[in-house]
Amino acid sequence: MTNIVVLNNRDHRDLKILDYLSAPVHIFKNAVCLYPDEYQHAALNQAILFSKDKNTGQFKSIVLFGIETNENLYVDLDNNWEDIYIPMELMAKPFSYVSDENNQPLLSLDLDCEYLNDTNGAEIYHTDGKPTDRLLQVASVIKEIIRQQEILDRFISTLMDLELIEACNINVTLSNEKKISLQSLYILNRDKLARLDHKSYQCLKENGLTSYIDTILNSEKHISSLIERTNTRLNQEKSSSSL
Amino acid sequence: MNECKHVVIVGGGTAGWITAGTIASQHKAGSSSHVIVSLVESPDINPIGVGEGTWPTMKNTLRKMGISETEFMRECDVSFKQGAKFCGWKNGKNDDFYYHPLMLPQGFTNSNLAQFWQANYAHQSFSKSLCFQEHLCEKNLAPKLITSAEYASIANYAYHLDSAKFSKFLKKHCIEQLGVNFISDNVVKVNSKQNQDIESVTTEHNGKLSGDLFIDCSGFSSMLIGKHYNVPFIDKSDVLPIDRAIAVQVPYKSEKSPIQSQTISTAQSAGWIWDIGLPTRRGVGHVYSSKHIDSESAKQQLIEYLHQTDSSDIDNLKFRELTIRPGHRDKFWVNNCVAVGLSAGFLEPLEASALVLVELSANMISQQMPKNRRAMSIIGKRFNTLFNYRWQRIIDFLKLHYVLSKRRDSSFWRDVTSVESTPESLKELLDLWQYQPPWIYEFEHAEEVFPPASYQYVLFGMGFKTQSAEKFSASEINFASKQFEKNAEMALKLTNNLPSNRDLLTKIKQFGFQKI
Repeated sequence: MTNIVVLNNRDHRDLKILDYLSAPVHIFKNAVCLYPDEYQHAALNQAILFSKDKNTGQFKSIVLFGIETNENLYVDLDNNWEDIYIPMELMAKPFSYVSDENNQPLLSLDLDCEYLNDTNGAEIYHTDGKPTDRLLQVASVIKEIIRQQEILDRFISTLMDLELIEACNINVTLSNEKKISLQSLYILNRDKLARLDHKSYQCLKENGLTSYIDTILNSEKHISSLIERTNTRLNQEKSSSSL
Repeated sequence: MNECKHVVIVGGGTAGWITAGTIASQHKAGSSSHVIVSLVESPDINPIGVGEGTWPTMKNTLRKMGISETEFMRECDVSFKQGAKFCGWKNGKNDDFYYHPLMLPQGFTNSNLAQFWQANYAHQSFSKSLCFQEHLCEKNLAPKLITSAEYASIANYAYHLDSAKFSKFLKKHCIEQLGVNFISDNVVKVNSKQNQDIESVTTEHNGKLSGDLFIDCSGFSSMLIGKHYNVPFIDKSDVLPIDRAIAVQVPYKSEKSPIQSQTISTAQSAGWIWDIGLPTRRGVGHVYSSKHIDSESAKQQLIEYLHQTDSSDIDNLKFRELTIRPGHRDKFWVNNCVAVGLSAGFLEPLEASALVLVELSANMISQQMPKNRRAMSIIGKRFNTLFNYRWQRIIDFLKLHYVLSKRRDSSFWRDVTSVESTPESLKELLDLWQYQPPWIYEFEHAEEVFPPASYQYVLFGMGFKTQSAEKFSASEINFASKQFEKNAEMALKLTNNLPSNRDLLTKIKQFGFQKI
C-alpha cells in the first residue's frame, strides 16, 4: 500500500530516512525512470528502454538494473554500488512530488515506504525545523525532474505520433537453464526510423530529439551485458552455496 | 455491365453508421475496390437509442474503422461488459443466478469438460468452475489494466454504451475521417427501374439520390424492404412473446457507486429487467409480454426493482415505453436492396443480438461487395440463406434461456416453457444434448452467432443434465483436474491484480490507453 503525504516540518520533523546508498538492496525495483538529459550518462553502461507507468499507462524511458522485478545487479552482495550513473529518480528516493490545486509541485513522501528507518536513516529537518542538506539536495533533484518531465513528455508524444516505439519481448535462457521472459518493454523501431520521411526527420531534428534517439539506439547493446551480469551473479551464488 | 460503385444508405442510427463506416473504411478512395458511400438521415426522427450492450466483436468493428478506443470510451459514456448474469431464471429463488461470460471454458478447445464438471465439480457452478470471468464480475473488476494497449484485453470484453452518443460519434468519424457523403433529409419516394431495382430515392430538399446498392437502415419503419418491396414479416411472438419495453435512465446513488461488469437480466412474472451500468448512469428497462401483464403493473415491477438496487431519485425518472414486434423479414436482400438493423427484424434484447447482427451484416456486405449487378444477385441469395440461418439460431438460443426454466409461477412462464412454443430445431438439439454435451462440432458454420461454448454456459447454468459418462480415463482426469486448478489460480491472480471498473474508467478519462 502507499500513503503519500505532502512533506512539512511540523508532522515530519523527526523522520529519519534512508537513501539509495544506505537502503537494503531488495527494496529497489529493477527499472528506474530516466529523463532525457540523463540518457548520455546512463548509456555508457546501461540500456535505455521504454515501459508504461503502471498507474497512468503513459510511456516513460527507463534503465534496467536487473531482470527480476526486485533485482539490482549493480550492487554487490555487500550492498556496494558499482561506479555507474545514478538516475535522478534514484537520487531522490523515496521523495517525489504532487501538484496542488494551482498545479504547483509540492515535495511528497510515501509514509508506507521501506526507507523510513530510525536507526540508520538520516534526518531531513534540523531541530529548529530548517531542512537538512539531504532534503535541500533532494528538493533540487526533484526540481530538475519536474523540468525534465516536460521534455520527456514532448519526446514521447513525438515518438508516439510518428509510431516510432514498438513492443519488445526479450526471451533468454540463463546459465541455470531458467527461461526468462522480459515483457512489457518497448524499444525504438529501427525499421521505421530508417524509413522516416524528410518532414518527420526535420521535425525530430528541429526539436533536438535526434541526439536522444541516437543515444538510446546505441545503448541497446547493453541489454546483453545485463544478461551476462545475471549469469555471472548466478554462478557466484552457485559457487558460494557449494562452498 | 453495371458496376457497383455507389452505396446509398437510407437511415442513420447505429445500424446506418456502423454499416457506412465498415464499407467506407474497407473500400476507401484510392483502393482498387473504391466505392462511394452516401447516407441520408432524417433530421426529424430520433434513433430508438436503447441498444446499450455490444458483443466483443465491436472491438474489431471499431478498430477496422480506425477509431481510437480511448476516444470512443470517453465520447460515448462507455463501460466494459464481461458477460451477462441471469437472475431468477431457473426457479426464481433468491440464490438463483448464473453467468454467460465472454470467454471459453478453460481447456475448451482441447476437451469437452462439461461431463467431467457434472460428475465431479457440480457443487460449484459451471461458469465459476471453468471461467475466471465470473469471479471478476462478482467483484465489479475491469477486464484490463491502464497499461494494456487499446483493444487489448486480459479478460475478453464487450461494451456498455450510450447509444445516442455512439450514433453521433460514429457519424462524425464517418463524415470527417472516412469520407462518407452525408445528406440530412427525409426520403419521400422510392423510384424503381424496369427490373424492379431501386434506381434512386427522392429526398425532400436535395432531389434524387441514385445508387447501385441501397441499404435499408430506416429502423422499424422498414422503408425499403418493408414498405417498398413488401417483403413479408415473419412474426415470432409464438416462440418469444415479449413485445413491450419500458426503459429508464437511472443516476447512481454516489459518484463512487460500483459499476457492474456485466449486463444483469432479472426474470419477472411476465418478462425480465435489463440493468446496464455506464460510467455516469445506469440504463434499466423492463421487457414484457403484453398478453401476460398490463403496462401499469409492468412499470410497478420496474420501480420495485429500482428500489431494491442502487438507485436514487426514482420519483423523478422519465420512463419511455416502446413496442417490439418480435420477428424478422422473410428475406433481407431483394434486387439491389439489403436491410440492416431493425428494418430486418428485432428480438427481445436478451443476449444483445441486435448490434452484432448489424456488424455481421455490414461485414458480409463489405467483404462481398458485389463487383456488378450480376454478382449482386448471387451474393444477395447467399446473404439471405446465411442470415435466415442466423436468425433461426438466435431464436433457438434465446428460447433456450426459457425452455429450461422450472418456473411455472405465472401464465407467462407456463406459456414460454411449453413444448408447443419450442421450435423443432431446438427440440432436436435438446434431445441430442441429453446424451452428449454441445461441443466444437455442433453447428454448420465456422462463424456462428452463438458459439457452442455459449450453449454450454446457458445449458449448465440453467441446470440441464446430460447423461453422465460411464467413467473417465486417467489421462482425462489428469487433464480435466489441471483445467479446474488453472481456472482457480487465474481467478485468484486476476482478482488481486485487476482494478475496479470505476477506477479504470476514471483513469481512461484522465490518461487514456496507449495505441501499443
